[in-house]
Amino acid sequence: MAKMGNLYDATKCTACRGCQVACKNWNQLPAVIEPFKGNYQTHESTNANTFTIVKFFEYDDVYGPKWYFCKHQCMHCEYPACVDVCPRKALYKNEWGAVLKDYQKCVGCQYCVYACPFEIPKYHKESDMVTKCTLCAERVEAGGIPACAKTCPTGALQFGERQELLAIARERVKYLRANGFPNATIYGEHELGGLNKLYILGDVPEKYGLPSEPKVSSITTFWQNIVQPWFGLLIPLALAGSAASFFTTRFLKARREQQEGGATHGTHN
Amino acid sequence: MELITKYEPDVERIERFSFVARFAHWSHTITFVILLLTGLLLFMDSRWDFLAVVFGGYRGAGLIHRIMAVIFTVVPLVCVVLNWRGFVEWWKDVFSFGKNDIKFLLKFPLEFMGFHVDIPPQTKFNGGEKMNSVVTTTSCILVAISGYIMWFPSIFPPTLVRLAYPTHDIFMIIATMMVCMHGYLGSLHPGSGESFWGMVKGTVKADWAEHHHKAWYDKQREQQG
Amino acid sequence: MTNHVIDLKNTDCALIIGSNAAENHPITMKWLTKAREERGAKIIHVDPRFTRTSAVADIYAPLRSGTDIPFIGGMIKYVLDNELYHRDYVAYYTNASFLVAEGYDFHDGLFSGYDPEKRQYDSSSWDYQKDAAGNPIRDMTLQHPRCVLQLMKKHYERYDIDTVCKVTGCPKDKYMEVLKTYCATGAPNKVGTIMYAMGTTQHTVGSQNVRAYAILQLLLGNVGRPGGGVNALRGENNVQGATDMALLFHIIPGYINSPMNTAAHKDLQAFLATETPSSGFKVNTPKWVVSLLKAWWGDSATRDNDFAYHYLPKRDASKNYSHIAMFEAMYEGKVDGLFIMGSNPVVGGPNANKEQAAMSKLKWLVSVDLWLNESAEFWSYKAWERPVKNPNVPQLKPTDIETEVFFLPAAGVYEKEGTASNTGRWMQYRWKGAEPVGESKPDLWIIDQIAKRVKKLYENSTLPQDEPIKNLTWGYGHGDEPEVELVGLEINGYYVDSGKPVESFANLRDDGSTTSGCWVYCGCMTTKPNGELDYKPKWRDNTDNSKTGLGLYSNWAWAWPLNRRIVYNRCSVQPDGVTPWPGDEDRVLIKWDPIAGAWVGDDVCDFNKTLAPDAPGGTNPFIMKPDGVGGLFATTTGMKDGPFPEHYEPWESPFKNVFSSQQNNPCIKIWEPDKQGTSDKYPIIGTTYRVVEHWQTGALTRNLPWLAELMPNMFVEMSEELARLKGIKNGQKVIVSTTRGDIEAVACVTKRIKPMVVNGKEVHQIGMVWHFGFKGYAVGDPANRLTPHVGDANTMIPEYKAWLCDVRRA
Repeated sequence: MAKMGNLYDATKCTACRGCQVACKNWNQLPAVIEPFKGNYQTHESTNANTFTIVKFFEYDDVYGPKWYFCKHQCMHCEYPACVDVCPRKALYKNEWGAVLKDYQKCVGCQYCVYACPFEIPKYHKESDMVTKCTLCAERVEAGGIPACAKTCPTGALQFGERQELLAIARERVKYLRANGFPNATIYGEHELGGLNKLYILGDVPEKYGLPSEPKVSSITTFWQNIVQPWFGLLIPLALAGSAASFFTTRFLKARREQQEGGATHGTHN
Repeated sequence: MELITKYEPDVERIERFSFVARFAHWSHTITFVILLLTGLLLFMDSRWDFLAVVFGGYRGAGLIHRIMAVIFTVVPLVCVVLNWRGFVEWWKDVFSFGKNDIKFLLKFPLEFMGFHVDIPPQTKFNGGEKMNSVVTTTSCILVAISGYIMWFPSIFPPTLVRLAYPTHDIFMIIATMMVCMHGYLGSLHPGSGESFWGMVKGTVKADWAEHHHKAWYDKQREQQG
Repeated sequence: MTNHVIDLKNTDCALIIGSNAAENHPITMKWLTKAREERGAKIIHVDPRFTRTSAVADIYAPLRSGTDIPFIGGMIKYVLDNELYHRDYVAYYTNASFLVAEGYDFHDGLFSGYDPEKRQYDSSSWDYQKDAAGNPIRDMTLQHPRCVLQLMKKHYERYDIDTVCKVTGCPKDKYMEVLKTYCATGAPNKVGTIMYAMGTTQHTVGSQNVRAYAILQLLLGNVGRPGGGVNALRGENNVQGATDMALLFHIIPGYINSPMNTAAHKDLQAFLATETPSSGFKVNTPKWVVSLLKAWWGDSATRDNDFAYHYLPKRDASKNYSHIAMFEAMYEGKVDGLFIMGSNPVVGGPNANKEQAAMSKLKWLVSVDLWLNESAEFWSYKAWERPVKNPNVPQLKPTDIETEVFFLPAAGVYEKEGTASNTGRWMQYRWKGAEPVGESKPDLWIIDQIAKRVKKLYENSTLPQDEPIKNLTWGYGHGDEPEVELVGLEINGYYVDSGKPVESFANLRDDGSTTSGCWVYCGCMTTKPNGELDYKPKWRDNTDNSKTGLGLYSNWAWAWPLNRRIVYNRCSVQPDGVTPWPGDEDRVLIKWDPIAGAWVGDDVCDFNKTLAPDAPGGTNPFIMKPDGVGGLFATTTGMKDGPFPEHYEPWESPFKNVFSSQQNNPCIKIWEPDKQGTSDKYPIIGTTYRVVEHWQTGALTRNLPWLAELMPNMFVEMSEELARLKGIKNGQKVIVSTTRGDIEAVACVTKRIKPMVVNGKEVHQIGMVWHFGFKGYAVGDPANRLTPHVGDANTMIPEYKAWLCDVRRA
């Protein structure tokens, strides 16, 4: 099956946040009501009960104010760090690109929370599990599209085959660059080996709260690629050494005793 | 040939470890093992699921791991306070690492495998034990700190949390390795002899002490004398 | 809307002014985005605040709240000076060529005929010069000094770019950009749309603001064509239906003036004589009125009894029945009871402190709502909590209030069936999605029960004054639940003899043989060949019937009048009726077919179907107007406050009017002269608005956790400069004060609001949402505790959008 994903066009988004509500509706997530903090953005980032969040960024430039909106959620990476670190293999990537989770297996260790270069998965205290966007896999497999894309009134969010979306995105970015958005760019085509959530940005990624070169932390890579597979071998090594010693000591002692004609005097008695 | 040296109560024995020290040692041992087993569930792949059953599933294991973690960190601290003098003595000895200790360490592999070697006079703790003290204690501290960071990640900077994972793993592995060796050397290794009883009963045979920890033995005698 | 929502995709340029379309009409942005993507359309946003609409606009031009007329007046001048207007359109389809009577004059902010005592105009001099036959005299060269175009040119002479920028505070480069971009739609092959909403209307010059837009659109030839129009984005999903059905004080259904206790309205004949113009489509008024009376009183309305005209209540001509007036009367103890449905005046009414106090003087109050909203609990302790003690604001306790409050739980929109008329005049049927919760009931059920029970009380009365109730037709099925289709049938109208629906308002009669509850909706129901009723709002064919892809979707729901998707669509072709506007072949809606002798096209023609273009009146597309053309100049009955929009400062303004010595609209009624704030004490301009996350007074949305989460508290937006000046930090609590009261809110310090330079002086504007109250999950002080009790001269809509205030740290 071809890779599927979303295409989010930040230049068409009006930050109505219908996607945020539709997501909560479909996933039956409770509201997390926090006091107004001087910005339209509800929460600092995604949280265990908020799988997707529209972030607001204000800038001033010579033409006047700029207000950028960006929908943040799980990027469904082609090479997901969260899947790599999950000790229980609760996280996995399905055949059409969604990074999913078997909640039966999640033990709330939160390794994925800190492995994610986009800081998306969040720990849900009540259930002791980590939650995140599922790309509405169950809807997609039933022939539908994700709730967020379904509800988007302006057409800023589309769902479809990644290759087709990329083609649309390339066209759109070409158009935008020629029409007042010189910094317009596609995000997610190559980042981290490709994301299944593609973005059309009117400006540089940083201005939308996205890392321009997302990287899985080198600490995480070191941990996953070196510590996990190799360091553990030290334990069997120690056990093997002890076992060997158990026999050699006894063997050597027996031989010594034999040589010394049964004399019991030794260093070790 | 017996696995562990026989305990001989009716020969001359001198005190090696106080009750508090032994309590600290054994409580630490037990919690470490439980922590290790409950923790390994996440370190190892799912073939070790059977272990989870023992602890009431992964969540049970997680809970036990946390409870043990508290005991693991709190008990030694309490014991340090209760047996401050012993603690100071231990670490003074550990840090009086001298020529004889180096000689011990150089010859240790041979001894470990059972060859006969001449050991220079050792203080209360021989070179190997000193090294064990340093490595194990460091590991335990790092494992504990990284463990608490992982337990309450939201109050720490993300980079620190990310660093905590490999730290916890690496030092868990080192500590486990040391524990394996230490456990073996302290019990089943023919050379351990009386040291096992030192940690179990608190006393060792005087002549064993003289042979193995000459410097300490002499000092004890001096003090008694 | 003259056009409809989907039609926005056909535009070349959208001027959004007085509207935050992206937030309050999100779906309009779907089509504007399409227009931008597919046609390269430009979006211009003119607003005091940089909103989410501005964020997606190509050009954002700031303006000081309440200065739309200078802004548009300057555009009109620019169009006229540079001859950018659509010449043929203007000459044929508007009254630009009409000569104005000599009596008309304008001097220092006042038009001819002003009576300062009554504060109103005698508008008889605002008329055309007429020939012997009574027909207006035209000068098709548009050169005659008394022709509308020349008079208009003279009127807007004062609105030069520099003055406009000085008054509005819009930077000149931005204004120039707007002028150049939007006025380019005067080219015959270009069409621009103006989208507006409450930012336009909620001013003491609100109606004239809209007039200014209409004038600009007519000059640029943008009305009656796809992608154009003067598009009021209605504030609620069924507010179009509410106005059509006359939920207003001055009209009866179908935009007919409601009868008054005057000699001119003393009987049906006098009423019809007064209200029926001599020309234009409104000559049919008698048919509409008689059919309405027949719908309401059935067999009791006969030719002999004036079709029961005497049953109709007559309003007192000396009184004003608008929202403000009603609450002023209530405040004086002149109102016994209040029935609130779908409203929440404690949050939504202007000068809400006063309106809340007024409610305490009621004997009884019935509140119908989904939740116990602020108005239903106006008597509670919480309702009288104020952030600061203010001697002018009453502080009551529940024990001080004797009003008996009844609460009727209402069903939500998805828990009932019926139609709603959207902003594009589409009457759409909505099926029930879920059963109502608990004891809540649909509005229709509630009204039905009340009507039935009231009628029962009067059943045996023989008093003549009880006849209107006794004889009122009330038959919407026999069951407990009224049948929606039968209500629909009454609104549509039926033939008295057969009971079958009337197919079109053209078939309505004034002889009592037809009924129609609202003539504009006549035609929404017909009979299918099999005899069943065809209720057109239920139509759901989502294929576009436009051959050129204009997105008419004529078989999806039904639009009044007679399913015309774009009104005045005669304008979409040249006066000859067959030639498209040059370069605009794809946007022709209807065309004269000389062989068939009729107008044909994808849209239903908004014109006499068989009137040839060369016949008299064949080029008069604005059929509802007596003169048949677009009114650049509003004649006698058009407006209360002048034939051309003229700038007057908001009732509370920090500036002197630079255009004339008339500071405020001379026709507005001043209710509370002592409450006019001055700029020495209240130097900041305040305005109110909505956000996409909440709806109106928030009764519905603040009770939904998912929406409460998105906008959890009352906030006030201010510039970084003002915040620095006042020592306010983002997220801090502040107090906003006016002469009417004080509220507490969270400061939202933003780069999106900038101080403005007006008349060479720096002025600050702050904005606040008016969604909040003390009930629900998202709570905060109602912004309307600050707004004044003053309204537009024509409509009495309160001036919510521009008033003076001060802000300080709480």
